[in-house]
Amino acid sequence: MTYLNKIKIFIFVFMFMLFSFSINAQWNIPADAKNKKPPVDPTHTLVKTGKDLYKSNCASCHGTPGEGNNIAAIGATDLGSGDYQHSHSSGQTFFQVEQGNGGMPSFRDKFSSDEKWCLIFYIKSFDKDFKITGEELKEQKADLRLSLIEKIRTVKAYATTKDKSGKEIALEGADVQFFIKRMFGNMQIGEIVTTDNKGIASIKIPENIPGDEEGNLNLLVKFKDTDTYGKAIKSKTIKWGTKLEIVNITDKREMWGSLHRVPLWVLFSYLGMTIGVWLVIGYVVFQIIRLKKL
Amino acid sequence: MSEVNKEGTKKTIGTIVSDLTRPIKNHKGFTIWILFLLTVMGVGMMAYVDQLANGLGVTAMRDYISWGLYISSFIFFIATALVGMLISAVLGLIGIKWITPIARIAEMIALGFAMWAGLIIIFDMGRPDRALNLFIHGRLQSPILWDVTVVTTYIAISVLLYLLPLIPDMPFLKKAMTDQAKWKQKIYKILSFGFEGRPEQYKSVKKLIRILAILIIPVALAIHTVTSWLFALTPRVGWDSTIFGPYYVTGAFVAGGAAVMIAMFVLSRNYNLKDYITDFHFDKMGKLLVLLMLVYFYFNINEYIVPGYKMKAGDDHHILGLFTGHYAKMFWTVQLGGLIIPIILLLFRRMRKPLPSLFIGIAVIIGAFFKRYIITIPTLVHPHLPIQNVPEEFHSYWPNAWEWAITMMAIAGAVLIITILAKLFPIIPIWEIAHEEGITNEEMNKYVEES
Amino acid sequence: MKEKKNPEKKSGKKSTSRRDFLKKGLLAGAGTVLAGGVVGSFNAFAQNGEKIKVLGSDGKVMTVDKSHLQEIGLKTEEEMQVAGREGIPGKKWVMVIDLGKCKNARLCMASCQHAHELKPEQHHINVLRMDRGGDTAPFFMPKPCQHCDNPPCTKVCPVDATFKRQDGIVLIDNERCIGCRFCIAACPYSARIFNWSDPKDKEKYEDVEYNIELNVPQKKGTVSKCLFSADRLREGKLPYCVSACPNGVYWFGDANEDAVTNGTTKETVPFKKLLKDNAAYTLLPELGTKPSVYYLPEKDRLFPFEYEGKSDLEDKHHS
Repeated sequence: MTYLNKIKIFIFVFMFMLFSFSINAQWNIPADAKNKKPPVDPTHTLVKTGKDLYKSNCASCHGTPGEGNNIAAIGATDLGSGDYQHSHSSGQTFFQVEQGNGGMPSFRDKFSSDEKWCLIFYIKSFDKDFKITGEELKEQKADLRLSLIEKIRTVKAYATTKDKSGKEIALEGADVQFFIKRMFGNMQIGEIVTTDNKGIASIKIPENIPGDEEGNLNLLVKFKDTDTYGKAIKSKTIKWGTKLEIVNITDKREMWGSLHRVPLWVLFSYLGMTIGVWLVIGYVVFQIIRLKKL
Repeated sequence: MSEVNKEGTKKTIGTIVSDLTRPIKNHKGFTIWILFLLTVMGVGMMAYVDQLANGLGVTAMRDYISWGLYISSFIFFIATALVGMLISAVLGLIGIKWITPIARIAEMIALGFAMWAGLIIIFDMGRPDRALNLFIHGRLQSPILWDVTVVTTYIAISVLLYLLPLIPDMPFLKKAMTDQAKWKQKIYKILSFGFEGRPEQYKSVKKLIRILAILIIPVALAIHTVTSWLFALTPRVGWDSTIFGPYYVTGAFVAGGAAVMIAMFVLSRNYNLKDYITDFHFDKMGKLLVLLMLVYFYFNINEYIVPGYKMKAGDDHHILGLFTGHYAKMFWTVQLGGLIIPIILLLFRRMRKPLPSLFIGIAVIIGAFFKRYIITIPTLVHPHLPIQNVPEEFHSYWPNAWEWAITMMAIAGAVLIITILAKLFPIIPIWEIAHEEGITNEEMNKYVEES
Repeated sequence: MKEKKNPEKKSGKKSTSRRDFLKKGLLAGAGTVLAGGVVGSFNAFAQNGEKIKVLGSDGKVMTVDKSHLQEIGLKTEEEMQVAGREGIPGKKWVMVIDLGKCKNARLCMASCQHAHELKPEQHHINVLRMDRGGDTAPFFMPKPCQHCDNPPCTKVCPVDATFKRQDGIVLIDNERCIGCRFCIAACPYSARIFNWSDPKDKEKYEDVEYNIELNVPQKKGTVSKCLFSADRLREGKLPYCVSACPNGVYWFGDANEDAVTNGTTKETVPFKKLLKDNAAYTLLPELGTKPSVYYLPEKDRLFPFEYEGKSDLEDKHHS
């Protein structure tokens, strides 16, 4: 019974510790933080920058604003909710990004001041009353075509888009990313490449990228700015990886292996000693039984 | 009394047989003693049945200190069992005469404790119902498999080494026990293996004893070295030691020596055999024990001074825990009371008399028991990484009632085996004593044939 | 490969199969009478095949017809044993733990305990408060099984119940484990736990087919340990702990691909470069265990060390 009680107490302590983060997350925002104003007016370009930052740094806990896919258990709120938007001014959010609290790390050193403001513009863009100035970013559906230059291990991506008359033209100045498909995600190769005036972004595939048993790599190419250019992903199997040699470590005779992989010296020492000793024991027993006949 | 063989008062084969078989026939308090042992075992059995039903959780062991009293008792049992090899093999082979009347006692102790050592391991298993997996899926790389093999082998050799010197006694027993129960006589008949005292038979028995005495030495060294390897082959602070093999073996001789000393006293007094196990034997046994303890003391110095001097990370916690920390009381009690003080006391002739020997033997064997505890548990209390986020009871260990009851069952069981053997067969070999008294085989055969 | 089940389980199965047999017999008889042909009885048999309890991919227990297992993409216990012991060819799983990012959120521990049906005091992964002594600063350190390439635990197992497979995972087969706890004693990382009494929700998991790659159902008297979520890896998903972390502590991947993926940001980076750029290390390297888990030093911390409201390490000399 006492054991059960102890377990109960332990569960309680454990749950308390889990939820104490939400308790910790009591924000203590100084009054003057509210008045802190951005140095520039929000534009669509700045909001877009903020969105990219948000995706890679905030979304894992806070989810997509307004969609409620935040992790509430650790105290992360949905920043797109009306509650949050009404109770937090831009300055207050800026303070929170700077300081961090409880489960939230401080981003003071991680982002520049401009970046922080871009982030806040993006968060604030979910408030209906928030005014964004400047030109709206236009969608410009684009497409990618890949070609390989075997000799120099280079992949060329041709980015094209359509002009007003529907004619296909080269897309200049678009950021293109190259990935290699991996078990749990896509691994970026090299830097982001911006297409030139012919719409070409090319990259040299480094050596020593492990491929499958034939050395095949699964290459994926896409635009970085999927909002503008669309989510076109082009994939291609390239043979420039190193060949994977499948070595089964359990085939070796090891001390840690299974019985079938017992090191031979262990096997022979064991069998030799055991059989030797038991033969002598057998001889003695045999002689005892023979005692009668002596 | 203090002389070896009382010259002049030479014993006849008749007196020897009647002296040594008398305790088998009638013996006061035997039933009460057996009932006592069975009661202790009954309580332990109840605890074990509960453990079987509810799992090892009924013990005080938990995830970090996952080996406890059972394993430390296991080493103690194996250690005590080792004395059979020392006395009947090593000393016998180098021709030491005074061990004749105590060799069989040593062999009885070896048998009782070795058998229960095997059982204790089963008590410690979480799934004893799967014990057969050891044979179906056994991995030769695991020290446990070596241990199972070598314990089985040691038990087999010990049985033979107990049985063989018993065979020439059987004709005497058959003759002396005609008034006893039928089943007893049947046992004597079967175990005589047709031995009738012919010279070839004596020759064969002696030769076989010699073979076994040689064979048991490496096997006995293996059994305790492998037992020490259960610890030394793991990368754990306090176990990760290269001298663990000899450290355990010498420690085992100390424990076994003390056990023999106690058994000598109890059996000789109880069975009225003071003429056979004399002050001389206690004196010799005391001297032998001092020697064994000095060797063990030497290994202790190595085992503790070397890490204690360097105070490497990990070792420091362990050593300080033993020297001044949580285990200091037990450590120093065991080292002083179970080793150093007995060494000093046994240096004095007066302390090697039977009664002081008994008390010293008890102190040494209790010390030996808790020394195994000191070897097993403190290491587990200090893992390499901290013990955290678990209930308080996971941090420390002291065996609870279940573990004590089950361990007591094992001890009582070993003593029961010794008691039953001592009740069925003479504890001193009749024929060897007769040979020492200068009685020839012909005289003995004539005595047996007389009706 | 598979060893016999324990007696109570066996008897339980026997009685159900006997009941099934009676039912089948009755239905077969009825079928013969009603349909007047062999076809009817054959159908009755097909619909009443042996029912078994299995774990769905969501971890829920369901009762299905044994013959339908394959259709719903599940395996029998025997098949799981064979595949589980074999491992996934060509893979070498590795984990990288970024200590600078851990703030003791313990979602890894919670999701692990949930997935493997562990009691609150049982940890396959445990977030420790570490202190290197002297004036060094304390830090949090998640500690799963290190899945050593020279594992002291599988060396000592007497029955091959814990073993290392070709993809590097050290698994435990609790249908074979005899409960000697030698592996617990041998593990220098204290990564193993024991089911001292009946496991959590024993009734719920009675007779459920054992999944060796999940080690569920847990069994009394056997050892349990971190499995690198072998069941998830087979589905191409990241381990439970890795995907549960909100702070980007864990990277997980295949060393043969030289890539690890962050469980929080899902970013994939070259494995060796990550180790090189961050001066990665392994735990207790002096023991020669060759772990598959790497640690990045607690540099550029995202969070201060706070524990139960205190910022200093209270139990500086742990236990």
